[in-house]
Amino acid sequence: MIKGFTAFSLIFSVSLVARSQMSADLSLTTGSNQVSLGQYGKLGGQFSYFYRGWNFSAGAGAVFSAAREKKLDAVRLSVSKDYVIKDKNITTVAFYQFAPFSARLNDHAAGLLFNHKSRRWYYDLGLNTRFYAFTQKYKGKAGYGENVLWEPVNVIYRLTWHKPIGDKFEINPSVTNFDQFIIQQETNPFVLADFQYKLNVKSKIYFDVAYQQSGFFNIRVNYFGYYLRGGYKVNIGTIPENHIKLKPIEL
Amino acid sequence: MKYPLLIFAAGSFLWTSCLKEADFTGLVRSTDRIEKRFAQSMEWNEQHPFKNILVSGEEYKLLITGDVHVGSSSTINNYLNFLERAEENDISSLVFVGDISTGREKDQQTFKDHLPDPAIKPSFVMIGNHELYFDGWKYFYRLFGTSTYYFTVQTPSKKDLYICLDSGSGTLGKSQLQWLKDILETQRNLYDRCVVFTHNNFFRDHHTASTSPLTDELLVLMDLFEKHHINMVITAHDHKRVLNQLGNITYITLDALRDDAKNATYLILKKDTQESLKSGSTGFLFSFEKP
Repeated sequence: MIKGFTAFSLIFSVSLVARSQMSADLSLTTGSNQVSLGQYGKLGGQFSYFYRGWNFSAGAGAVFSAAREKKLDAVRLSVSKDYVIKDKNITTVAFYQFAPFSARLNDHAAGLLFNHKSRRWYYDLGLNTRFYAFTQKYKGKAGYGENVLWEPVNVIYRLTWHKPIGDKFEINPSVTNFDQFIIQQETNPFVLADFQYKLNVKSKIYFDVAYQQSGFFNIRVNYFGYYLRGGYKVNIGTIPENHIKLKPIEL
Repeated sequence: MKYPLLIFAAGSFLWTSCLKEADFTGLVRSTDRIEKRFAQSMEWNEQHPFKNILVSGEEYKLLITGDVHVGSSSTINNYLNFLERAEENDISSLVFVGDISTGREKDQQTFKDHLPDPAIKPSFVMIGNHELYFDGWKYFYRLFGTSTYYFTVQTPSKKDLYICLDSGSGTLGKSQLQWLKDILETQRNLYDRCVVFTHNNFFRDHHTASTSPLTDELLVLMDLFEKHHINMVITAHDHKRVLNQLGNITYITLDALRDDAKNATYLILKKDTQESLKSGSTGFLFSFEKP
Protein backbone atom coordinates (compact mmCIF):
# COMPACT_ATOMS: atom_id res chain seq x y z
CA MET A 1 0.00 0.00 0.00
CA ILE A 2 2.84 2.36 0.93
CA LYS A 3 4.62 1.64 -2.37
CA GLY A 4 1.46 2.43 -4.31
CA PHE A 5 0.82 5.70 -2.61
CA THR A 6 4.49 6.68 -2.96
CA ALA A 7 4.24 6.28 -6.75
CA PHE A 8 0.90 8.03 -6.71
CA SER A 9 2.28 10.96 -4.66
CA LEU A 10 5.32 11.24 -6.89
CA ILE A 11 3.26 11.66 -10.04
CA PHE A 12 0.92 14.00 -8.21
CA SER A 13 3.85 16.17 -7.05
CA VAL A 14 5.33 16.29 -10.55
CA SER A 15 1.94 17.25 -11.88
CA LEU A 16 1.60 20.04 -9.34
CA VAL A 17 4.98 21.47 -10.32
CA ALA A 18 3.90 21.48 -13.94
CA ARG A 19 0.48 22.75 -13.02
CA SER A 20 -0.38 23.94 -16.47
CA GLN A 21 -0.10 20.36 -17.73
CA MET A 22 -1.95 18.58 -15.01
CA SER A 23 -5.24 16.79 -15.15
CA ALA A 24 -7.13 14.84 -12.53
CA ASP A 25 -10.00 12.45 -12.16
CA LEU A 26 -11.57 11.51 -8.84
CA SER A 27 -14.36 9.00 -8.44
CA LEU A 28 -16.50 7.17 -5.91
CA THR A 29 -17.83 3.71 -6.67
CA THR A 30 -20.27 1.47 -4.90
CA GLY A 31 -21.48 -1.96 -5.94
CA SER A 32 -22.15 -5.52 -5.00
CA ASN A 33 -21.34 -8.88 -6.50
CA GLN A 34 -21.38 -12.60 -5.80
CA VAL A 35 -18.13 -12.48 -3.83
CA SER A 36 -18.19 -9.03 -2.20
CA LEU A 37 -20.02 -10.05 1.00
CA GLY A 38 -22.43 -7.13 0.72
CA GLN A 39 -22.00 -3.62 -0.57
CA TYR A 40 -18.50 -2.35 -1.28
CA GLY A 41 -17.16 1.14 -1.76
CA LYS A 42 -14.18 2.38 -3.72
CA LEU A 43 -12.40 5.66 -3.95
CA GLY A 44 -10.37 6.14 -7.11
CA GLY A 45 -8.08 8.80 -8.42
CA GLN A 46 -5.96 9.30 -11.47
CA PHE A 47 -3.55 12.06 -12.28
CA SER A 48 -2.01 12.68 -15.65
CA TYR A 49 0.90 14.67 -16.87
CA PHE A 50 1.27 15.68 -20.47
CA TYR A 51 4.76 16.16 -21.87
CA ARG A 52 5.80 16.50 -25.52
CA GLY A 53 3.00 14.38 -26.89
CA TRP A 54 3.25 11.74 -24.20
CA ASN A 55 0.70 11.28 -21.47
CA PHE A 56 1.92 9.78 -18.20
CA SER A 57 -0.76 8.68 -15.76
CA ALA A 58 -0.83 7.23 -12.29
CA GLY A 59 -3.98 5.96 -10.66
CA ALA A 60 -4.76 4.39 -7.34
CA GLY A 61 -7.86 3.21 -5.57
CA ALA A 62 -8.92 2.40 -2.03
CA VAL A 63 -11.50 -0.30 -1.42
CA PHE A 64 -13.84 -0.74 1.52
CA SER A 65 -15.25 -4.24 1.40
CA ALA A 66 -15.87 -7.05 3.87
CA ALA A 67 -14.28 -9.41 1.34
CA ARG A 68 -10.98 -7.57 1.06
CA GLU A 69 -8.25 -7.65 3.68
CA LYS A 70 -6.30 -4.84 2.05
CA LYS A 71 -7.58 -1.30 1.68
CA LEU A 72 -5.52 -0.58 -1.42
CA ASP A 73 -7.59 -1.73 -4.39
CA ALA A 74 -4.93 -1.27 -7.05
CA VAL A 75 -2.25 0.99 -8.41
CA ARG A 76 -1.88 1.55 -12.11
CA LEU A 77 0.76 3.33 -14.15
CA SER A 78 0.22 4.04 -17.80
CA VAL A 79 1.78 5.91 -20.64
CA SER A 80 0.03 6.81 -23.86
CA LYS A 81 0.76 8.49 -27.15
CA ASP A 82 -1.35 9.49 -30.12
CA TYR A 83 -0.46 8.59 -33.68
CA VAL A 84 -2.01 9.32 -37.04
CA ILE A 85 -2.13 6.26 -39.27
CA LYS A 86 -3.75 6.71 -42.68
CA ASP A 87 -5.66 9.79 -41.51
CA LYS A 88 -6.95 7.95 -38.46
CA ASN A 89 -6.07 8.95 -34.91
CA ILE A 90 -4.85 5.97 -32.94
CA THR A 91 -3.97 6.18 -29.27
CA THR A 92 -1.60 3.59 -27.87
CA VAL A 93 -1.62 2.94 -24.14
CA ALA A 94 0.83 0.75 -22.23
CA PHE A 95 -0.06 0.01 -18.62
CA TYR A 96 0.92 -1.92 -15.55
CA GLN A 97 -1.45 -2.64 -12.70
CA PHE A 98 -0.77 -4.04 -9.26
CA ALA A 99 -3.60 -5.19 -7.01
CA PRO A 100 -2.79 -6.51 -3.54
CA PHE A 101 -5.74 -8.84 -3.08
CA SER A 102 -5.05 -10.19 0.39
CA ALA A 103 -2.35 -10.78 2.97
CA ARG A 104 -1.34 -13.76 0.83
CA LEU A 105 -2.07 -12.98 -2.78
CA ASN A 106 -1.12 -10.26 -5.26
CA ASP A 107 -2.44 -9.76 -8.77
CA HIS A 108 -0.21 -8.16 -11.43
CA ALA A 109 -1.26 -7.24 -14.95
CA ALA A 110 0.37 -5.39 -17.82
CA GLY A 111 -0.89 -4.67 -21.28
CA LEU A 112 -1.04 -2.70 -24.45
CA LEU A 113 -4.20 -1.08 -25.73
CA PHE A 114 -5.09 0.67 -28.98
CA ASN A 115 -7.93 3.14 -29.24
CA HIS A 116 -9.62 4.74 -32.20
CA LYS A 117 -12.54 7.13 -32.08
CA SER A 118 -14.89 7.72 -34.96
CA ARG A 119 -17.79 10.15 -34.83
CA ARG A 120 -20.21 7.73 -33.19
CA TRP A 121 -18.10 4.75 -32.18
CA TYR A 122 -15.05 4.31 -29.96
CA TYR A 123 -12.99 1.17 -30.46
CA ASP A 124 -10.50 -0.22 -27.95
CA LEU A 125 -8.54 -3.40 -28.53
CA GLY A 126 -5.48 -4.76 -26.81
CA LEU A 127 -3.75 -7.56 -25.01
CA ASN A 128 -2.77 -8.07 -21.44
CA THR A 129 -0.74 -10.57 -19.51
CA ARG A 130 -1.28 -11.40 -15.87
CA PHE A 131 0.35 -13.20 -13.03
CA TYR A 132 -0.70 -14.16 -9.56
CA ALA A 133 1.96 -14.24 -6.87
CA PHE A 134 2.23 -14.48 -3.13
CA THR A 135 3.27 -11.51 -1.03
CA GLN A 136 6.90 -11.50 0.16
CA LYS A 137 5.76 -11.69 3.76
CA TYR A 138 3.54 -14.69 3.13
CA LYS A 139 6.20 -16.46 1.07
CA GLY A 140 8.58 -16.19 4.00
CA LYS A 141 5.98 -17.43 6.43
CA ALA A 142 4.90 -20.36 4.26
CA GLY A 143 8.43 -21.25 3.22
CA TYR A 144 7.68 -20.80 -0.47
CA GLY A 145 10.34 -19.98 -3.03
CA GLU A 146 9.76 -17.87 -6.12
CA ASN A 147 6.56 -19.13 -7.68
CA VAL A 148 4.02 -17.29 -9.79
CA LEU A 149 1.07 -18.44 -11.82
CA TRP A 150 1.18 -16.79 -15.20
CA GLU A 151 -1.65 -16.25 -17.67
CA PRO A 152 0.25 -15.32 -20.85
CA VAL A 153 -2.34 -13.58 -22.96
CA ASN A 154 -5.84 -12.18 -22.74
CA VAL A 155 -7.66 -9.91 -25.17
CA ILE A 156 -9.07 -6.68 -23.78
CA TYR A 157 -11.71 -4.83 -25.73
CA ARG A 158 -14.33 -2.15 -25.56
CA LEU A 159 -16.89 -1.03 -28.08
CA THR A 160 -18.55 2.26 -27.20
CA TRP A 161 -21.40 4.08 -28.86
CA HIS A 162 -20.90 7.79 -28.43
CA LYS A 163 -23.96 9.99 -28.36
CA PRO A 164 -23.63 13.72 -27.58
CA ILE A 165 -26.83 15.48 -26.59
CA GLY A 166 -26.48 19.21 -27.04
CA ASP A 167 -23.20 20.86 -26.12
CA LYS A 168 -22.94 19.65 -22.56
CA PHE A 169 -24.30 16.15 -22.23
CA GLU A 170 -23.17 12.84 -23.68
CA ILE A 171 -24.01 9.17 -23.28
CA ASN A 172 -21.45 6.41 -23.91
CA PRO A 173 -22.75 2.86 -23.50
CA SER A 174 -20.08 0.16 -23.90
CA VAL A 175 -19.53 -3.55 -24.04
CA THR A 176 -16.16 -4.27 -22.53
CA ASN A 177 -14.05 -6.52 -20.33
CA PHE A 178 -12.02 -3.80 -18.62
CA ASP A 179 -12.61 -0.70 -16.57
CA GLN A 180 -11.11 1.19 -13.65
CA PHE A 181 -8.73 -1.32 -11.99
CA ILE A 182 -10.75 -4.17 -13.50
CA ILE A 183 -9.40 -6.48 -16.18
CA GLN A 184 -11.66 -9.43 -16.81
CA GLN A 185 -10.94 -12.41 -19.00
CA GLU A 186 -12.08 -11.91 -22.60
CA THR A 187 -14.86 -14.45 -21.96
CA ASN A 188 -16.41 -12.28 -19.26
CA PRO A 189 -17.79 -9.17 -20.97
CA PHE A 190 -19.96 -6.67 -19.14
CA VAL A 191 -22.00 -3.65 -20.09
CA LEU A 192 -21.27 -0.17 -18.90
CA ALA A 193 -23.26 3.01 -19.46
CA ASP A 194 -21.43 6.29 -19.02
CA PHE A 195 -23.17 9.65 -18.71
CA GLN A 196 -21.10 12.82 -18.82
CA TYR A 197 -22.01 16.43 -18.22
CA LYS A 198 -19.63 19.23 -19.13
CA LEU A 199 -19.56 21.84 -16.39
CA ASN A 200 -17.28 24.16 -18.34
CA VAL A 201 -14.52 23.84 -20.93
CA LYS A 202 -12.15 22.30 -18.41
CA SER A 203 -14.23 20.06 -16.18
CA LYS A 204 -16.86 17.37 -16.33
CA ILE A 205 -18.87 15.26 -13.97
CA TYR A 206 -19.82 11.74 -14.89
CA PHE A 207 -21.93 8.85 -13.73
CA ASP A 208 -21.38 5.22 -14.74
CA VAL A 209 -23.54 2.14 -14.30
CA ALA A 210 -22.10 -1.32 -14.92
CA TYR A 211 -23.83 -4.69 -15.05
CA GLN A 212 -21.63 -7.78 -14.78
CA GLN A 213 -22.64 -11.29 -15.64
CA SER A 214 -20.96 -14.66 -15.54
CA GLY A 215 -21.22 -17.59 -17.91
CA PHE A 216 -21.71 -15.69 -21.17
CA PHE A 217 -19.42 -18.05 -23.03
CA ASN A 218 -21.00 -20.97 -21.17
CA ILE A 219 -24.20 -19.86 -22.92
CA ARG A 220 -25.72 -19.86 -19.44
CA VAL A 221 -25.60 -16.35 -18.11
CA ASN A 222 -26.02 -15.62 -14.46
CA TYR A 223 -26.09 -12.25 -12.71
CA PHE A 224 -22.71 -11.54 -11.16
CA GLY A 225 -22.81 -7.97 -9.93
CA TYR A 226 -23.24 -4.27 -10.57
CA TYR A 227 -21.57 -1.05 -9.66
CA LEU A 228 -22.34 2.66 -9.79
CA ARG A 229 -19.67 5.31 -10.07
CA GLY A 230 -19.76 9.07 -9.86
CA GLY A 231 -16.77 11.21 -10.65
CA TYR A 232 -15.31 14.56 -11.45
CA LYS A 233 -12.55 15.24 -13.93
CA VAL A 234 -10.71 18.43 -14.47
CA ASN A 235 -8.14 19.62 -16.90
CA ILE A 236 -5.99 22.45 -15.59
CA GLY A 237 -3.95 24.10 -18.28
CA THR A 238 -3.55 23.83 -21.98
CA ILE A 239 -3.74 20.14 -22.73
CA PRO A 240 -5.39 19.57 -26.09
CA GLU A 241 -8.70 17.77 -25.69
CA ASN A 242 -7.66 14.71 -27.69
CA HIS A 243 -4.76 14.08 -25.31
CA ILE A 244 -6.85 13.85 -22.19
CA LYS A 245 -6.94 10.26 -20.95
CA LEU A 246 -8.23 11.15 -17.57
CA LYS A 247 -11.23 9.06 -16.97
CA PRO A 248 -10.14 5.76 -15.44
CA ILE A 249 -12.16 3.75 -17.91
CA GLU A 250 -10.03 5.30 -20.62
CA LEU A 251 -6.97 3.90 -18.88
CA MET B 1 -23.86 -6.11 -49.90
CA LYS B 2 -20.82 -8.14 -48.91
CA TYR B 3 -21.34 -7.56 -45.16
CA PRO B 4 -24.83 -9.10 -44.94
CA LEU B 5 -23.53 -12.08 -46.93
CA LEU B 6 -20.59 -12.51 -44.58
CA ILE B 7 -22.86 -12.26 -41.56
CA PHE B 8 -25.23 -14.80 -43.11
CA ALA B 9 -22.34 -17.17 -43.86
CA ALA B 10 -20.89 -16.85 -40.36
CA GLY B 11 -24.34 -17.26 -38.82
CA SER B 12 -25.06 -20.34 -40.91
CA PHE B 13 -21.77 -21.90 -39.90
CA LEU B 14 -22.39 -21.26 -36.22
CA TRP B 15 -25.96 -22.49 -36.50
CA THR B 16 -25.09 -25.76 -38.18
CA SER B 17 -22.03 -26.49 -36.06
CA CYS B 18 -23.45 -25.57 -32.70
CA LEU B 19 -27.16 -26.25 -32.92
CA LYS B 20 -26.77 -29.88 -32.08
CA GLU B 21 -24.89 -29.25 -28.86
CA ALA B 22 -25.63 -25.73 -27.70
CA ASP B 23 -28.79 -24.21 -26.33
CA PHE B 24 -28.64 -20.51 -27.07
CA THR B 25 -31.66 -19.66 -24.94
CA GLY B 26 -29.29 -19.13 -22.02
CA LEU B 27 -27.30 -16.45 -23.79
CA VAL B 28 -29.48 -13.60 -22.64
CA ARG B 29 -31.17 -14.94 -19.55
CA SER B 30 -31.05 -18.36 -17.92
CA THR B 31 -33.92 -19.72 -15.91
CA ASP B 32 -31.70 -22.28 -14.20
CA ARG B 33 -29.98 -19.91 -11.78
CA ILE B 34 -27.13 -21.04 -9.55
CA GLU B 35 -28.90 -19.97 -6.36
CA LYS B 36 -31.92 -22.11 -7.19
CA ARG B 37 -29.75 -25.11 -8.06
CA PHE B 38 -27.80 -24.69 -4.85
CA ALA B 39 -31.00 -24.56 -2.77
CA GLN B 40 -32.31 -27.71 -4.47
CA SER B 41 -28.95 -29.43 -3.98
CA MET B 42 -28.98 -28.66 -0.27
CA GLU B 43 -32.50 -30.09 0.00
CA TRP B 44 -31.27 -33.25 -1.72
CA ASN B 45 -28.19 -33.39 0.52
CA GLU B 46 -30.41 -33.31 3.61
CA GLN B 47 -32.10 -36.50 2.45
CA HIS B 48 -28.94 -38.15 1.18
CA PRO B 49 -25.93 -38.01 3.52
CA PHE B 50 -22.52 -37.40 1.99
CA LYS B 51 -20.73 -40.63 1.08
CA ASN B 52 -17.74 -41.96 2.94
CA ILE B 53 -15.70 -44.53 1.03
CA LEU B 54 -13.78 -46.99 3.15
CA VAL B 55 -10.60 -48.41 1.71
CA SER B 56 -8.56 -51.20 3.23
CA GLY B 57 -5.06 -49.78 2.63
CA GLU B 58 -3.41 -46.41 3.14
CA GLU B 59 -3.18 -45.94 -0.64
CA TYR B 60 -6.06 -45.73 -3.08
CA LYS B 61 -6.84 -44.49 -6.57
CA LEU B 62 -9.59 -42.35 -8.06
CA LEU B 63 -10.35 -42.39 -11.77
CA ILE B 64 -11.23 -38.86 -12.90
CA THR B 65 -12.47 -37.45 -16.19
CA GLY B 66 -14.47 -34.60 -17.66
CA ASP B 67 -16.24 -33.57 -20.85
CA VAL B 68 -17.57 -36.98 -21.86
CA HIS B 69 -20.34 -35.25 -23.86
CA VAL B 70 -22.53 -38.31 -24.37
CA GLY B 71 -24.83 -37.61 -27.32
CA SER B 72 -22.44 -35.27 -29.11
CA SER B 73 -21.26 -38.02 -31.42
CA SER B 74 -22.71 -41.35 -32.44
CA THR B 75 -20.26 -43.36 -30.35
CA ILE B 76 -19.16 -43.37 -26.71
CA ASN B 77 -16.11 -45.61 -27.07
CA ASN B 78 -13.84 -43.48 -24.88
CA TYR B 79 -16.43 -43.49 -22.14
CA LEU B 80 -16.84 -47.26 -22.36
CA ASN B 81 -13.07 -47.76 -22.26
CA PHE B 82 -12.87 -45.50 -19.22
CA LEU B 83 -15.53 -47.58 -17.50
CA GLU B 84 -13.66 -50.74 -18.39
CA ARG B 85 -10.55 -49.35 -16.70
CA ALA B 86 -12.69 -48.47 -13.69
CA GLU B 87 -13.66 -52.11 -13.25
CA GLU B 88 -10.15 -52.96 -12.14
CA ASN B 89 -9.69 -53.53 -8.43
CA ASP B 90 -7.21 -50.73 -7.83
CA ILE B 91 -9.84 -48.06 -8.48
CA SER B 92 -11.89 -46.92 -5.49
CA SER B 93 -14.33 -44.62 -7.24
CA LEU B 94 -15.03 -42.54 -10.34
CA VAL B 95 -15.28 -38.78 -10.63
CA PHE B 96 -16.83 -36.92 -13.56
CA VAL B 97 -16.02 -33.21 -13.61
CA GLY B 98 -19.01 -32.00 -15.62
CA ASP B 99 -20.26 -31.94 -19.21
CA ILE B 100 -21.21 -35.60 -19.07
CA SER B 101 -23.67 -35.19 -21.94
CA THR B 102 -25.42 -32.76 -24.26
CA GLY B 103 -27.84 -32.01 -21.43
CA ARG B 104 -30.72 -33.74 -23.18
CA GLU B 105 -32.64 -36.22 -21.04
CA LYS B 106 -31.86 -39.24 -23.20
CA ASP B 107 -28.12 -38.49 -23.20
CA GLN B 108 -27.97 -37.99 -19.44
CA GLN B 109 -29.92 -41.24 -19.07
CA THR B 110 -27.50 -43.07 -21.41
CA PHE B 111 -24.59 -41.78 -19.36
CA LYS B 112 -26.18 -42.98 -16.13
CA ASP B 113 -27.18 -46.37 -17.57
CA HIS B 114 -23.52 -47.22 -18.18
CA LEU B 115 -22.25 -46.27 -14.71
CA PRO B 116 -21.13 -49.15 -12.48
CA ASP B 117 -23.25 -50.29 -9.55
CA PRO B 118 -22.71 -47.56 -6.91
CA ALA B 119 -22.61 -50.17 -4.16
CA ILE B 120 -19.52 -51.69 -5.79
CA LYS B 121 -17.88 -48.65 -7.39
CA PRO B 122 -19.29 -45.25 -6.42
CA SER B 123 -19.42 -42.50 -9.04
CA PHE B 124 -19.41 -38.79 -8.28
CA VAL B 125 -20.90 -36.66 -11.01
CA MET B 126 -20.64 -32.91 -11.28
CA ILE B 127 -22.67 -30.56 -13.39
CA GLY B 128 -21.14 -28.67 -16.33
CA ASN B 129 -22.62 -25.96 -18.48
CA HIS B 130 -23.89 -28.57 -20.96
CA GLU B 131 -26.03 -30.19 -18.27
CA LEU B 132 -27.93 -26.90 -18.14
CA TYR B 133 -28.79 -26.90 -21.83
CA PHE B 134 -32.17 -28.09 -23.08
CA ASP B 135 -33.65 -27.80 -19.60
CA GLY B 136 -30.99 -30.29 -18.51
CA TRP B 137 -30.86 -29.37 -14.81
CA LYS B 138 -34.30 -30.92 -14.33
CA TYR B 139 -33.00 -34.26 -15.60
CA PHE B 140 -29.66 -33.98 -13.82
CA TYR B 141 -31.48 -33.37 -10.55
CA ARG B 142 -33.73 -36.36 -11.10
CA LEU B 143 -30.90 -38.69 -12.14
CA PHE B 144 -28.01 -37.54 -9.95
CA GLY B 145 -29.53 -35.21 -7.37
CA THR B 146 -27.18 -32.65 -5.99
CA SER B 147 -24.72 -30.46 -7.87
CA THR B 148 -22.89 -29.29 -4.70
CA TYR B 149 -21.61 -31.84 -2.21
CA TYR B 150 -18.57 -33.54 -0.83
CA PHE B 151 -17.42 -37.08 -0.27
CA THR B 152 -14.70 -38.53 1.88
CA VAL B 153 -12.29 -41.42 1.54
CA GLN B 154 -11.23 -43.14 4.71
CA THR B 155 -8.09 -45.24 4.98
CA PRO B 156 -7.20 -47.14 8.19
CA SER B 157 -5.43 -44.08 9.58
CA LYS B 158 -6.47 -41.01 7.56
CA LYS B 159 -9.48 -39.40 6.01
CA ASP B 160 -9.47 -37.20 2.88
CA LEU B 161 -12.01 -34.63 1.77
CA TYR B 162 -13.23 -34.18 -1.83
CA ILE B 163 -15.41 -31.15 -2.51
CA CYS B 164 -17.54 -31.02 -5.67
CA LEU B 165 -18.79 -27.60 -6.80
CA ASP B 166 -21.29 -26.35 -9.38
CA SER B 167 -19.78 -23.79 -11.78
CA GLY B 168 -22.12 -24.43 -14.70
CA SER B 169 -23.26 -20.80 -14.71
CA GLY B 170 -19.73 -19.41 -14.59
CA THR B 171 -19.99 -18.47 -10.92
CA LEU B 172 -20.41 -20.40 -7.70
CA GLY B 173 -22.87 -17.78 -6.49
CA LYS B 174 -23.10 -16.29 -3.01
CA SER B 175 -24.69 -19.23 -1.21
CA GLN B 176 -22.44 -21.92 -2.62
CA LEU B 177 -19.37 -19.82 -1.88
CA GLN B 178 -20.54 -19.39 1.71
CA TRP B 179 -21.17 -23.14 1.95
CA LEU B 180 -17.64 -23.78 0.71
CA LYS B 181 -16.19 -21.32 3.21
CA ASP B 182 -18.15 -22.92 6.04
CA ILE B 183 -16.99 -26.42 5.10
CA LEU B 184 -13.37 -25.30 4.95
CA GLU B 185 -13.58 -23.30 8.20
CA THR B 186 -15.25 -26.03 10.21
CA GLN B 187 -14.08 -29.28 8.66
CA ARG B 188 -10.84 -28.88 6.75
CA ASN B 189 -8.71 -29.58 9.80
CA LEU B 190 -10.48 -32.91 10.34
CA TYR B 191 -9.01 -34.30 7.12
CA ASP B 192 -5.59 -35.15 5.84
CA ARG B 193 -5.81 -34.08 2.19
CA CYS B 194 -8.39 -31.97 0.40
CA VAL B 195 -9.17 -31.83 -3.31
CA VAL B 196 -11.69 -29.48 -4.96
CA PHE B 197 -13.46 -30.41 -8.20
CA THR B 198 -15.44 -28.05 -10.39
CA HIS B 199 -16.20 -27.93 -14.09
CA ASN B 200 -14.99 -24.49 -15.23
CA ASN B 201 -11.26 -24.18 -15.73
CA PHE B 202 -9.68 -21.45 -13.61
CA PHE B 203 -6.89 -20.05 -15.75
CA ARG B 204 -6.28 -18.83 -19.25
CA ASP B 205 -3.14 -20.77 -20.05
CA HIS B 206 -3.70 -20.22 -23.74
CA HIS B 207 -6.10 -18.28 -25.88
CA THR B 208 -9.46 -20.00 -25.45
CA ALA B 209 -13.18 -19.35 -25.53
CA SER B 210 -13.71 -21.35 -22.35
CA THR B 211 -15.29 -19.40 -19.54
CA SER B 212 -13.31 -18.97 -16.35
CA PRO B 213 -14.64 -17.50 -13.11
CA LEU B 214 -14.51 -13.70 -13.18
CA THR B 215 -11.22 -12.43 -11.78
CA ASP B 216 -13.00 -11.15 -8.64
CA GLU B 217 -14.18 -14.68 -7.90
CA LEU B 218 -10.98 -16.34 -9.02
CA LEU B 219 -8.94 -14.30 -6.54
CA VAL B 220 -11.36 -15.10 -3.73
CA LEU B 221 -11.15 -18.82 -4.49
CA MET B 222 -7.37 -18.92 -4.91
CA ASP B 223 -6.94 -17.08 -1.64
CA LEU B 224 -9.45 -19.32 0.14
CA PHE B 225 -7.76 -22.47 -1.14
CA GLU B 226 -4.36 -21.25 -0.05
CA LYS B 227 -5.66 -20.23 3.36
CA HIS B 228 -7.13 -23.69 3.96
CA HIS B 229 -4.28 -25.73 2.52
CA ILE B 230 -6.18 -27.29 -0.34
CA ASN B 231 -3.92 -29.78 -2.11
CA MET B 232 -5.39 -29.95 -5.59
CA VAL B 233 -8.00 -28.20 -7.69
CA ILE B 234 -9.24 -30.28 -10.63
CA THR B 235 -11.29 -28.73 -13.42
CA ALA B 236 -12.28 -29.55 -17.01
CA HIS B 237 -14.27 -27.51 -19.58
CA ASP B 238 -11.37 -26.37 -21.76
CA HIS B 239 -10.77 -29.84 -23.29
CA LYS B 240 -7.03 -29.31 -23.05
CA ARG B 241 -4.85 -30.59 -20.25
CA VAL B 242 -2.90 -27.99 -18.28
CA LEU B 243 -1.05 -28.21 -15.00
CA ASN B 244 -0.41 -25.14 -12.88
CA GLN B 245 1.26 -24.80 -9.54
CA LEU B 246 0.99 -21.95 -7.08
CA GLY B 247 2.48 -22.58 -3.67
CA ASN B 248 1.58 -26.10 -2.63
CA ILE B 249 -1.61 -26.24 -4.70
CA THR B 250 -1.65 -28.13 -7.99
CA TYR B 251 -4.30 -26.88 -10.41
CA ILE B 252 -5.21 -29.38 -13.14
CA THR B 253 -7.39 -28.79 -16.17
CA LEU B 254 -8.37 -32.12 -17.72
CA ASP B 255 -8.46 -33.23 -21.33
CA ALA B 256 -11.89 -34.06 -22.72
CA LEU B 257 -12.97 -37.70 -22.94
CA ARG B 258 -15.43 -37.24 -25.80
CA ASP B 259 -14.86 -39.48 -28.79
CA ASP B 260 -13.89 -36.69 -31.17
CA ALA B 261 -11.32 -35.19 -28.79
CA LYS B 262 -7.88 -35.27 -30.39
CA ASN B 263 -5.98 -35.99 -27.18
CA ALA B 264 -8.52 -37.71 -24.98
CA THR B 265 -7.12 -38.80 -21.62
CA TYR B 266 -8.37 -39.40 -18.11
CA LEU B 267 -6.63 -38.86 -14.81
CA ILE B 268 -5.60 -41.47 -12.30
CA LEU B 269 -5.13 -39.88 -8.91
CA LYS B 270 -3.31 -42.00 -6.37
CA LYS B 271 -3.10 -41.22 -2.67
CA ASP B 272 0.48 -42.20 -1.98
CA THR B 273 2.03 -42.77 1.42
CA GLN B 274 5.58 -41.93 0.34
CA GLU B 275 4.41 -38.76 -1.38
CA SER B 276 2.48 -37.76 1.73
CA LEU B 277 5.68 -37.75 3.75
CA LYS B 278 7.33 -35.16 1.52
CA SER B 279 7.17 -31.58 2.70
CA GLY B 280 4.92 -29.40 0.55
CA SER B 281 3.65 -32.34 -1.48
CA THR B 282 0.01 -32.73 -2.42
CA GLY B 283 0.19 -36.28 -1.07
CA PHE B 284 -0.91 -37.61 -4.44
CA LEU B 285 0.73 -39.10 -7.48
CA PHE B 286 -1.12 -38.64 -10.73
CA SER B 287 -0.88 -39.81 -14.31
CA PHE B 288 -2.90 -39.46 -17.48
CA GLU B 289 -3.99 -42.47 -19.53
CA LYS B 290 -5.52 -42.70 -22.97
CA PRO B 291 -8.90 -44.44 -23.13
